Amino acid sequence: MLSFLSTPFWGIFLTIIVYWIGQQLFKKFPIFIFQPLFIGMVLGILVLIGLSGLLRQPIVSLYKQYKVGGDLIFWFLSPATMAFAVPLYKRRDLVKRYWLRIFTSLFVGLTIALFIIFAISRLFGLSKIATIAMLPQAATTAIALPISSVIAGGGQLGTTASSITAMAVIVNAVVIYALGSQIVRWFRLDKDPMGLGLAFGTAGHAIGSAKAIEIGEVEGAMASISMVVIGLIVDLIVPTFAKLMGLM
Amino acid sequence: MENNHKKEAAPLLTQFLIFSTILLVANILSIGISLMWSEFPVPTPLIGLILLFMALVSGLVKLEQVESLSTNLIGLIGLLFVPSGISLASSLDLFKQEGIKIIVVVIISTVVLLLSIAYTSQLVAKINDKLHHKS
Repeated sequence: MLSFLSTPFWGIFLTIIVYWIGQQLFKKFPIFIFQPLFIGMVLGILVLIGLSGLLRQPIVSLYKQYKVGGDLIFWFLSPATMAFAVPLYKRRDLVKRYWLRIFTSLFVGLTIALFIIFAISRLFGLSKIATIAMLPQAATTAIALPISSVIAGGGQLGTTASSITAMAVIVNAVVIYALGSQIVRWFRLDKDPMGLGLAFGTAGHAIGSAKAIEIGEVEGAMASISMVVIGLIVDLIVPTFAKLMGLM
Repeated sequence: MENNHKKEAAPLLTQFLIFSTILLVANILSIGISLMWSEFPVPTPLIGLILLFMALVSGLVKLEQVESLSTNLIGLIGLLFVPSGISLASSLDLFKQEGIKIIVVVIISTVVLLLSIAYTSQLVAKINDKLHHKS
């Protein structure tokens, strides 16, 4: 009977139900910690831990069973990432007018951020694998995970690094959702709507972009553009950076 | 800016066909690149995004042929992230040892990314304005 756990139906159901619960909670209590994605991730992991205790099986083997269905949903992240070409195309006027400014800001900004993130990881004494996982976090999941995995050397190490990167990308979004508006006020970033949008899209990905749309139209458009362009830039400079720092 | 009289969305199958064709081509290109430069992975979705954008700009693909599927996929993006979040269950050992430190580093990194991009953009705008005033 328990063999249902290793069919795709289980993983698909678990993914949808935990996200749905997250969404309902968020509707009732719109506090940042109830971000549906965050709740979904925590609930999903808790269910797997609970089952692992109940069935006396290691958590890793329960995750492998979940993954059969989870991977089916995960696959759709590829077309969904590709779909961002449409909002980008709709605002191609902004891209055309400001491409140099967008590209320079993101390229220089990300390079500076990489040095600081690397220094902080060292300061906190993170292991090599966790440090690697911190580097591609400016890119959205479908782009960041493969990069993280390759830098870590693929295989089991690659899986570990990309799962940490996956969590980092989710925490980025939760932090921007929770503190984005306050940070804007503290650091007086609201006088430059373009920079604000670029920063929200880079640091908060899709959820940061949604927040940027709430702030204003230019901010929202810039955030969706930056998500795309930063993916490209991360792809260009993060492997080189990792090599220079002796992580690869 | 956009044409106001929107054309009717293409049938779902057409939209699926366009998406899967572009993804397949993107995947072949991604494999090709990884064979030439194995240390510089270019993920399939990133190539797909660029290809779809180029196809739209060149008129090869019309907006109404991809728009509704794109909107739906982007609307579901939170759900699509859930399995990658749950993948942390496979690395709980590392997470038990370093979890708190990792989360603190990620929170600081988020703020670093936000400020670094926002300030660089302000600086680039200032330089840009100066250059334009001079010329």
